[in-house]
Amino acid sequence: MQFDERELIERCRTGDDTAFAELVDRYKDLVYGLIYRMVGDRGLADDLAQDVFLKVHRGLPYFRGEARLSTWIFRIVQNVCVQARSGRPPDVPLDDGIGGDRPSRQFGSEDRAFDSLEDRDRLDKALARLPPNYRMLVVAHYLKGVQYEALAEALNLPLGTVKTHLHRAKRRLRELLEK
Amino acid sequence: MQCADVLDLVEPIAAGDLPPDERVREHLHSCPACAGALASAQRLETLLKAMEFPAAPAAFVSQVLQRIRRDRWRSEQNVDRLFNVAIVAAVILIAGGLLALLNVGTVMSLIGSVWTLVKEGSRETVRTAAPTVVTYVAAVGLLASALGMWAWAERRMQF
Repeated sequence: MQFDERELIERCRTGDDTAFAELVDRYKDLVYGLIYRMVGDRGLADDLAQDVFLKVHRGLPYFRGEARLSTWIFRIVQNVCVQARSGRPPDVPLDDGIGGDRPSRQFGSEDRAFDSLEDRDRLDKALARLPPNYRMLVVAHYLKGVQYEALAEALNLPLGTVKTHLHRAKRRLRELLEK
Repeated sequence: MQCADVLDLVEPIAAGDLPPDERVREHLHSCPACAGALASAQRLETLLKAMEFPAAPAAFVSQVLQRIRRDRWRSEQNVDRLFNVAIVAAVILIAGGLLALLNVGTVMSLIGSVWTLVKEGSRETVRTAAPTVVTYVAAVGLLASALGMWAWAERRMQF
């Protein structure tokens, strides 16, 4: 953990609100962006992102600094998203039927040209249809700051497994885009 | 090399995690379907890298701090309530103590009676429960372990 981050955490632990505001400011876009991509609703993302920081605030006295702060926050984001979608249909297992059906149309192929705006819109819709566990992996990986190693640490999975799951998630995403 | 083998490698190749070897490259040159899948995966990779993540609202930090203050205020309220209960209990104890001081004889005989009752009662209870005491201890131990594990898991889930 970086020195300034450790110092910031120590200041937060003493009840320094200015320090906690600094911590929130540092991670707000990461947390909000990740949650928004998971739930697709700005109002809900706002509430859930606030919940995350409330949990961070309550949990800081117990944070031992063994993992990076961003990794710990990512875990909280993951738990908050899981709790938020409890009651909805269960996730599709990570190895669900990948590779069974071949794509019927190729996304971005020459026979159908899309401008980038339309592509982005289709990507958003396909992401929303991706099972939540895959969506979390893809979104977290492509959001600046959460790399393979941090994902593996946060999910408590071997690095190779994270890469495999991510490739499967992208394959599924590609299949959704090509439908 | 079969199409199924190459299609399994399309995403890692597109992500730059796996450089394609000679056999894969040959297959991609000769198979339009696999080459198309790779082009599609590369396009997706580009789009994902360019994916936009909205920034948090401008008032986000102050809203979080407000919620924290509200949360802190609520816990302080709980402490206050607990403090009030403690004060009431202390007042009752003091009043009871004063009354007892004024009626020492009655209190002493009452204590004596209660003590005899408790002594006889516990002797009887121990005599009845003695054969099954090991079972009770084991059951309490198991229950305590289960509760401990549950509390630990809850705590882990929270963070």
